[in-house]
Amino acid sequence: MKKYPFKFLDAYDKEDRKIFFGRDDEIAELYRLVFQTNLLLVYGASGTGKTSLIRCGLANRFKPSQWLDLLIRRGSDINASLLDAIRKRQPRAQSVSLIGQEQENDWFSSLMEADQESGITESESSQIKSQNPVAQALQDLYLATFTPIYLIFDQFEELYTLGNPEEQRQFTRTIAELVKLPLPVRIIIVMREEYLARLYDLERAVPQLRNYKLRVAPMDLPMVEQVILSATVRNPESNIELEQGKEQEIVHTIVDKIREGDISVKLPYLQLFMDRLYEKVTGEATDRSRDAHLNLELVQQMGNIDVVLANFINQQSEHIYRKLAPKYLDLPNDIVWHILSPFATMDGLKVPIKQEDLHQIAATLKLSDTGQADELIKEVVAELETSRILRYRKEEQTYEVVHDTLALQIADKRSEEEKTYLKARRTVTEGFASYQDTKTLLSREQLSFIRPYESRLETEIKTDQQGFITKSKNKRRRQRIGLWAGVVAAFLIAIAVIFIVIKEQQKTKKALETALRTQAAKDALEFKSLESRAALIIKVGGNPIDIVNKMDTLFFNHTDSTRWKKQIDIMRDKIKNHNDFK
Amino acid sequence: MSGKRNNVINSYLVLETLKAIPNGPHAKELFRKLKQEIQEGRAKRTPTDAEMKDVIVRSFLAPISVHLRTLFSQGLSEKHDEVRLRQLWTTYREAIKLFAFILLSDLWDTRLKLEKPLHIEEAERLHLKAFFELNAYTAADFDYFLLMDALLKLAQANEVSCYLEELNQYAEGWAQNEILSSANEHFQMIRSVLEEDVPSRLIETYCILSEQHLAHVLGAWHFLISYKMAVIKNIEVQRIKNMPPAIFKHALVELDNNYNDIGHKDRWEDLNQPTDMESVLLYRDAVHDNLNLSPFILDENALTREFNSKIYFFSHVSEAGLHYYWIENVKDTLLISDQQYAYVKLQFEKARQDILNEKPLRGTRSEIAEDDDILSFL
Repeated sequence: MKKYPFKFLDAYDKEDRKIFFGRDDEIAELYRLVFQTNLLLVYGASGTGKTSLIRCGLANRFKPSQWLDLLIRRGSDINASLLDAIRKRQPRAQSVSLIGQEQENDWFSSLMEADQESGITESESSQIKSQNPVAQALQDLYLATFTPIYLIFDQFEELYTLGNPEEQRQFTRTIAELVKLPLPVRIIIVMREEYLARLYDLERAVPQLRNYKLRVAPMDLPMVEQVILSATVRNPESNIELEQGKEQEIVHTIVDKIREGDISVKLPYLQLFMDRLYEKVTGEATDRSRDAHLNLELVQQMGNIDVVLANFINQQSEHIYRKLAPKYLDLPNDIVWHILSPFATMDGLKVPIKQEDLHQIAATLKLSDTGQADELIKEVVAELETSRILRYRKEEQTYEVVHDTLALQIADKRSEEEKTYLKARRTVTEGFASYQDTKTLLSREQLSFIRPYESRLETEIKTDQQGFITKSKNKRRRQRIGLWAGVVAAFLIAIAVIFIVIKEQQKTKKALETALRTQAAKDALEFKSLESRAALIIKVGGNPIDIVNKMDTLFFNHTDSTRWKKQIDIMRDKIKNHNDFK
Repeated sequence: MSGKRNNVINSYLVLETLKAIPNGPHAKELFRKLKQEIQEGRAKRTPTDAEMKDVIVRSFLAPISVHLRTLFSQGLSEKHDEVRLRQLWTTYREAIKLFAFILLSDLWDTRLKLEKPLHIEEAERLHLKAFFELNAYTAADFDYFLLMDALLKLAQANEVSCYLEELNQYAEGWAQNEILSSANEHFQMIRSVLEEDVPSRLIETYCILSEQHLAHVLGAWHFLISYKMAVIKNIEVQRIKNMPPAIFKHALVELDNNYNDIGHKDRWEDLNQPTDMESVLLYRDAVHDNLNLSPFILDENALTREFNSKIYFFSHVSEAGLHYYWIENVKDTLLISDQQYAYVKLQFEKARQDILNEKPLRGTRSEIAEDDDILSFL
């Protein structure tokens, strides 16, 4: 039976071996590396097919008895998700024991009794000593399956973009223990290359991470052409046919439309483009079972990938709106975008949202009838899942955008207000992360920035993050009060100083006046004495010039005193008259 | 043996094998654990299935234990089917191959120590020649049991004391041993059955019988748990002025008892004398008293100087050269540099010449100044 040979935006898994092409060299290298280390890093740009390379390419190099893979996404906490993933794979207890209840019991008892001295020292023991629940769970899983376990941490960058420092530290401790386990367990970390620097702490704890890594490069144009040909023309089970004689031209045109002027191609673009092309030919929205014949003219009519991508989400959004508008009155026409918004970070990364947390999206919607919000969200999310924009991850009970390519579109589509709100939210989340390390609270400017969004933030951020805002605000309030108290104290001190200065000035002035009065009294006495002497001289004769000079000095000392002036003038006249008479 | 137990997949294999290795360190460790539980006041119990399987897997040498682990894996423990039957046959075949490679390596060493050709009867020579000339077609059908039988007789005839000293008790060969010969007869029948479509009505019977025979041969070969395997990657000499003796630091990976076929397990061991490097070694008590299994068993990671190990068995010879396969997947072939390959090929040819006392094959590197090649390589 013929099948559609592409996967839309889902990763390829073990069952897709027949339609997974173009990565033979990378698979061989990956296969070689997993025998050299139990901790391997696979990194590359978004859309290079890292997950498919492992889950399909590498997985198919092993027999089922050699490969038990656990795909672990961060979820709400990577440590909990890891433990959960291991425990979920634990098979149910065997119903029949190998040992029968009768003589086999006796047989084993006799063996035990015969073994008088075990002779095994503690250090020789092969049992796992770790108290780490992950190590214990892995041992239980291994002993239940006797199959080598591959822990594949997919989209590992989420630990750094969405996780908190304590979560990161705990994970580092766990990995450092797991690499030493005497069990056939291998760990593969898969992440986008732009986040490699964030591995610093993990690399310090587990140095072999530095030595064993594989970069998955974007697929170059000739290889993408070969992939399309392998999936269609050379694949007898493909339900897509290319116009005969024009296969190369068609393939070349497709690649040209999805390359965005680059020398390589993002593989999700190829998947999406082929999906849209298929729908254009067959008219089927989601069913991919019909045969499709692609001709060159049709391919040429398709827009470039940016247009195709934007149209895809727009069409789905409009379709969902038209479907739900009659049921929900006054439904905003951008309601689907609003509901999609929390599923992407500002940078266009996927944000998984737990099913139980979907109702929190209601706070972001501007609905006239808020009572219907929960139901509306559920319906829109269900429609988005049908439209293959959202995916439900059963293991973690979360919804997420099917690929970062779409998350980027969602991020771009946001209103300026929404973008600002997200910046405010990021200010809080990053500030909180930093606070846990450095105990630094939000600054006054940061608090001012988030203030308009506080009520919305309260409904969308975690309790400890809310506590962080409150703590920052309290600290800011205390700072403000402290500042005001300082100002008032400074004012009071200034007043006191001024008062003291004035008082001192008054005291000085008073002392000066007293001194002046004392001096004046003293001078008056001297003047009297002089006057007496002058009178005596007038009376008995003699030279009064010394007295005149002293009187002049006194005059100059008291030029501002009219009394002195008058008296001196009188004395001068007297002395003058006396001299004239003489 | 109760009838009920017989119906549970792996039960016979697990219980019979465990009975054969009660003195192994891992069995003793399990006993100690159960005794300790009783001392701590917990109820007396029999070991769990997983505990018993774990002891068996940890006890045997890696080339056997990886196949036992596969037999115990979830997918192969649920039903009697062709995949399980094939794995039972594979486990037997790889175990007997391991014996053959050990004895071949032993005889090669002995031949060089004796400094005279081995005395080989014509019947044994035919088996040995057949082995050294295996090709892609004959390799699939080659009966290593007959080769082992011939090797044991050869050892007896030349008064060779085997490195696996327990093999000395089989001086008359394995064919005289009822358990081993009937097991081989059964498994050769299974091999031929697996070449065709296995009748579904017979699969369960074949599986049960194969499991029983495998349990018997593992019981007979229980002494293998006293031996260990290790890979020596390289050796560093540590010699300090006027401070004898020199220390030879060996980078090694232990291959048994601890699932060390994977993992970051390279460690350093100091010895007073250097052993062979880039080799897979078999030893009993101390690494320095070992038997080098090259060129019949190789470690790709040792040859490429990478961490951990990946063990390959010799498969056959073709015009393209020697062929090896990863012990867990025959489709996975050895990837080493041309320089390394020349070295391996030369070793193999020297082993053939020395054991069979034959001249170099036409066109082989040993004809054209092989010593110079080795020296230039080293």
